[in-house]
Order: sequence, then structure tokens, then C-alpha cells
Amino acid sequence: MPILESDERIIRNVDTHWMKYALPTIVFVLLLGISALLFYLAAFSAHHTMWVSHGTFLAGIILATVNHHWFFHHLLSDHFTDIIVTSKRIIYLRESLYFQNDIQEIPLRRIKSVTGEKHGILQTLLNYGTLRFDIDIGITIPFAPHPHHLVKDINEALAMK
Amino acid sequence: MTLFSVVFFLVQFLSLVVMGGIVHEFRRIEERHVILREAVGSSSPLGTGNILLWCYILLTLLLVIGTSAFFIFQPHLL
Repeated sequence: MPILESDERIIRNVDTHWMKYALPTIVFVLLLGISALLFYLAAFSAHHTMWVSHGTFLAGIILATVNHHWFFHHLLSDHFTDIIVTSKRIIYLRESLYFQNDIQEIPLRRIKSVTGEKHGILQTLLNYGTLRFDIDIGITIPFAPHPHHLVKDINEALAMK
Repeated sequence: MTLFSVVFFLVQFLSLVVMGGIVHEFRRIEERHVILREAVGSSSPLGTGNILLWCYILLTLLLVIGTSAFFIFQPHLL
């Protein structure tokens, strides 16, 4: 677990951008629509073909339940993603309930350069993007809010080291 | 119809078990994050997480109770 050294200070502590929730939300709404259609089909076929009605009702229930838990698992996991910039390192925390528990520490002395990328109209309008570090192994941080401000802060910390 | 009911209530039971598991794991990670944030001397804005968690609990209960009530009281629709 990272603990601050005596001469180390926090420069910035940010959560990743809320756009990380966009794709799961779209998938959730689509699957919710499909389960609603299955329920409708179950009610529609109830008086004609009982087994089709039972099958589609069960399929609708299972799809709605799995979709609901998957969506909230995603939401609750992404909530713990953090970027902490200190005067000595960058700490990137990523969690996925039961599946992943990553703490990536990038010491500033290992960083040759850092770039902030904003690609496309959405990233430009909503002010988020990707942080890319030029070090031995490729590390990128997606959904970084205000990537150019973060790059500025990191470059200032690099200049001070 | 019996098999249909068994599968239906098994899905509902599993749904509650999964919710319990996710809530337990969320609380465990939240606790660890508070310690971590304190260790790096940072504040802990975890309020949104609690709202999300309560939304999840309430919606899961609503889904289970709603579909069970429909299944029990409206069988003529199926």
C-alpha cells in the first residue's frame, strides 16, 4: 500500500471522467429493452402457446436480472478508479469487484515524457482523454479528466524532481 | 408449471445472493480505499458510491418483489 514519504506531497487526486459509465449505460438500456420485449411476447402468447409464453417469460427474467447485476457491478467497480499525482509518483487505482484489484505506481524518475490526448468531438467537448507515459512499459490511463491540466501538473512535478 | 416455478424462484434467490456478495465486496473495498486515501493524506469523497450502492439495493429488491408479485398474483397472463 503506498504511503507518502516525508518530503512527498499530493499535487492532484482525481476520479476518472464520468464518460466511463456511458458505454455500460447504453448496453444496459438496450438489454432492458430486449427483456421488456420478451415480457411483452410472453403476455402476448399466453393464451395461444403456453410453452412459448413460459420460455419467453423466463428468458426475460434471466436477461433482466443478469443485465441489472452486470450494470451495477460495472458502476460500483468503476467508482473506485482514481488517479493520484504526488511530487514523487503517479498512483493509478483500478478495481473490479471480485475480479481485479490493481494499484499501479509510476515513479516520476522513470517517466521520460507524458502526453495528454483528446481524440474526437466527445472528448474535446466533455474534456476528457488518455494519459500516455513514455517509460519502459507502456502505461496509459483512459478517461482522465482534463488531461492537459494533469500533464501540466505532472510536467511541473518532473521539473522539480 | 412446477419446473417453471422452481426455475423462477431459483433466479430470484440467486439474484439476492449476488446482491449480497456485491454489497459485501463493495464495503470491503470501500474500507480499504478509506485507509489508502488516509495513507496518502487525501480526502475521501465516497458519498456517490453510497448513493449508487443504495440505488442498487433498492432496485434489486424492487425487481425481485415486483416480478415475484407478478408471478404469484397474475398467473392468468402467462
